[in-house]
Amino acid sequence: MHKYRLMINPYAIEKWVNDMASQGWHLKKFTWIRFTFERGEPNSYIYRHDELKRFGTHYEEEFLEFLKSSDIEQVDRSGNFVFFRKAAQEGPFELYTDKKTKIGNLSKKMRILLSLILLNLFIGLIGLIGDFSEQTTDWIGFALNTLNLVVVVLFALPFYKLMRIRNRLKRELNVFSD
Amino acid sequence: MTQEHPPLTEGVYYILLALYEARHGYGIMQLVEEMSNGRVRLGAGTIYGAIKTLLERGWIEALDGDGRKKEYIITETGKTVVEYEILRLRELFDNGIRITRGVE
Repeated sequence: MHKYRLMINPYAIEKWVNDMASQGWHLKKFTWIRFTFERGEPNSYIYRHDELKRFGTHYEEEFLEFLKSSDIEQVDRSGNFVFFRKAAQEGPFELYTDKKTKIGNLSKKMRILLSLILLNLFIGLIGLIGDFSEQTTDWIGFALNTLNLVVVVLFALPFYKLMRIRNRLKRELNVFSD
Repeated sequence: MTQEHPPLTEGVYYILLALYEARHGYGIMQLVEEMSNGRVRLGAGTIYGAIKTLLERGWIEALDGDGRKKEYIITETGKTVVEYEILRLRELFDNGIRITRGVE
């Protein structure tokens, strides 16, 4: 079964993938928008995502080997983005259990989102001004620049959500060491 | 806080303790869980990140192995760090007991 989702907020996607698994649909393959599921036992696996730091480096190979030796199975990867899974009967499964790494990972995703938001906002606004400054309105330009602004709106909410998670973790770090 | 030996995170402390004997990543994970009676469950990504940092600091070292399951062991510097941490924890413990129970 194929499903289509835009992977803007990986944490929301991860939650969705786990919801699917609880209904017996297990992630098999994925790209940035297309997710392929196959039928299996409900609740038999827990899924986690990760973004690998440096594509194809020695560090990465070692990390993947390390996960494999911990009974963590790599489901599929798309670019630097990877989904892993572990049998649910082996207990709770998290890749990262310390707040500092979690905050670091969130910051990395937020930086990418923010740069896309700002880029689209800039191109969109400058473009819109340009579209109407000529004698005849450039409707194609107008449509494209409106799309830029749609992207801004589309990315703003996930950005805000990630920021809230990060702020909560940071506040906890004020009291708890980890 | 400026201290000569800043507090370790719980994860790093337990990883260092686990490496008084040579272990691979998964072995660390299992021992830490066992030592803490299931309270501390370290994620594989967290352990891997910590191992990298501890190697860089020279607190642990990798043993030559077949590569598939690399083993690590604590160094003398690492042991010194753990000993300072135990002193710090004892101070915390002693002060806590003294004040809450009024006994030494």
